[in-house]
Amino acid sequence: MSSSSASDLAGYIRGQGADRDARIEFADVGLRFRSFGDSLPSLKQTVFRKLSGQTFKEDSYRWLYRGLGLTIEHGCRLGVVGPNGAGKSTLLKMICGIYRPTTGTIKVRGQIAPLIELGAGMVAELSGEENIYLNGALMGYSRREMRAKIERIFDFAGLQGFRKVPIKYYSSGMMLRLAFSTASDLNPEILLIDEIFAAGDAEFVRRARARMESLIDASHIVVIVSHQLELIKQMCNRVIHVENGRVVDDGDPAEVIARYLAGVQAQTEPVRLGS
Amino acid sequence: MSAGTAASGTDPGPWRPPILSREFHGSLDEPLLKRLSPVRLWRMLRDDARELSFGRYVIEQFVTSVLRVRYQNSMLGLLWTLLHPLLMLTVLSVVFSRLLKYPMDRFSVFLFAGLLPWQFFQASVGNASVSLIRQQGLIRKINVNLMLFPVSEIATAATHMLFAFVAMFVIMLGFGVFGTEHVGAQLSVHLVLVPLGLVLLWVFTLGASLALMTLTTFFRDMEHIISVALQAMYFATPIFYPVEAVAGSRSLTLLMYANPLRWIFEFFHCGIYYHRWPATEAWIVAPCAAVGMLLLGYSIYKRHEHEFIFRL
Repeated sequence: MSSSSASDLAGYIRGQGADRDARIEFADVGLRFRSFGDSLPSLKQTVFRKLSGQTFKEDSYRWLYRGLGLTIEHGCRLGVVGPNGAGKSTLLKMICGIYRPTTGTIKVRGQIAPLIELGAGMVAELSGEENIYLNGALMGYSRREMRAKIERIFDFAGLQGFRKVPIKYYSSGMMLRLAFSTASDLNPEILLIDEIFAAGDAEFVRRARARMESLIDASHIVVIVSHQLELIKQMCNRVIHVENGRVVDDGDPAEVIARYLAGVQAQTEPVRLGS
Repeated sequence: MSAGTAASGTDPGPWRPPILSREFHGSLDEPLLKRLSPVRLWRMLRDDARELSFGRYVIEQFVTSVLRVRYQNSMLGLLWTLLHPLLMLTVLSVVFSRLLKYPMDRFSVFLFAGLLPWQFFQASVGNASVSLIRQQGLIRKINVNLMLFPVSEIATAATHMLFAFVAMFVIMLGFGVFGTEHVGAQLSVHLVLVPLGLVLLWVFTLGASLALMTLTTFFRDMEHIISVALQAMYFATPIFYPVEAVAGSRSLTLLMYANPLRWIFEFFHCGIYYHRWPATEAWIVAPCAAVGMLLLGYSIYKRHEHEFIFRL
C-alpha cells in the first residue's frame, strides 16, 4: 500500500506498460540555453525591451544539443566520454527530467536513480538522521520506509556515532560518505552515474566501489559519465563520444575510446611540452 | 507491512518500485498554455495536486526541519511561536489604543483576529516568492515538482499560525471568562467562520505566491518591490482599524472594496470579534477573489514551469 504511493512521487506513472524492459529514447532532441551575458536581464531591461518592441535576438540563445537521436536499450551499460562542457552531465539531467528538451521528445521507461550530484538537498543545520529522512522524502520514500533503511545507511557510512550530530560539524569526507550511502541504498532500473568514484578514505572507497559494482549489476540500464576512461572500458558495453552537442562516435568501448584518445592526441600534438 | 520487507525471496533487499514511464516533450514543439483552456488548466491542476500529495513527505520534512532549525537553539523553543505574537499583540494594542482614537472595546481581540492571518500572509508570500531561488542548489540536481517549495513555505507559515491562533484564542477566552472584558474573547457559533476564512486565505495565498514566485525568479528586483508592497498592503487592510474607521473618506472606502484581503479578513473579524455573519458581498467576493487568484497565479506559474531551471 505504502510502496505504491511512494513510487510515484512525481506522479509520473502514465500507465504501467506490460513491457518491463527499461528503455531510454531521445528523438530529435534539441536543448537551448539562453545566454544572458553576465547576469539575468533586469526588470528594467525587459520593460524597455518590451516597450521598444525589441525581442531577445536569436543569437542570444545557445543550443547545447540539436537533433540528438539516441536509444539506450535494456541491458546497456553506456559510457559517455567527451571534453569538459560537451554536455555529458546535461545529458544525464535530461534523462532525469531536470532539463526539459526545447525540441523533440525524450521517452524514459524505468525507475531512475541519479547518482549525479551527491549531497543535493542536505541541510547543514539538521542532524545526519534528519537529513536522511529529508533526502528520502525527496526521492519519494516515506518516513516509515526510510526508518527501515536508516540502520543500513549509517552502518555502511560507518557513522553510527554521528547520527544526531548536525552535518555542519561533519568533515567533508564524512559528508560524502553519508551522501553516498544514502544515495546508493536503492535498487533502480536506470542508474545514472556522474563521476563519483573517489570518495572518502581508502577503506570506504573499496566498499563504495563494491557497492557500485553490485548496483551496476542489478540495474537494467546504466549510464556512466566519467573521465576515467579505463573505468569506462571495464564497466561499459557501449560508449558514446559527445562533442558540440552531438554524438560523434558510438559503439564498442575499446574502439570508441581509442578513436577518442587519438583525436585528443591529434589536437594536442603541436603543443607538446618538454621537447 | 513496511515496503522494505514486502519483497519476496531470501534477501528482502531494498524495495523495488514498479516500472515507470515518462515522456518529455520539447517546449517549442508544444507551447504549453498558449491558449488557456479551462479543461487543460483543470487537468494540470489535478495532476499537480496529485504530485503534491505524493510529495507530502517532503513538505512534512520541510516544515518540521524549518521549525526545528528555528527553535532548537533557543531556550524557550516552540513556545516562541506563542510568545512572539503575544508580545507583538501587546505592543500593538497598547500603541494603537493610545494613538488611534477609535471607540472600540476589546481592541486587542480585534487586533488578534486580523494580525495573525496577516502575519501568515506576509511570511508566506515573502518566503514563497524567493523559495525557488533559495532552493536552486536542489532544483538543479533533483527532478521534483517545483510547487513543493512554495507550498512548503506556506505550510510552514500555516503551522505557525495555527499554533499561535489556538493558543492565543484560549488565552483570550480565559481573560473573557475571568471578567477582564476589554481583552477577553467569547465563544459563539460564529467561530465556524474562522476555518472558512483560513481556507479562503490559504487558497488566495497560494495563488499570490505562485504568481510572485514566478516574477521574482525571472526578475530578482521583485524581491524588494514585494517587501514594500506588503508593507503598503498591511496599512491598506483593516488589521489595526475597523473598516468603519475609514468610512468618511471616499477613496479609502474604494480601496477597501478593491482589496481582496479585506473581504477574507471579514470572516476572521466576524467570527472572532463581531460575532455576526458577514455581509452578502463578502460571501461572494472572498471566494471569487481566492479562486481567481489561485487560477491566475497557477496559470502564470504553469506557463513558465520548465523555464525556471534556465533562470536560476
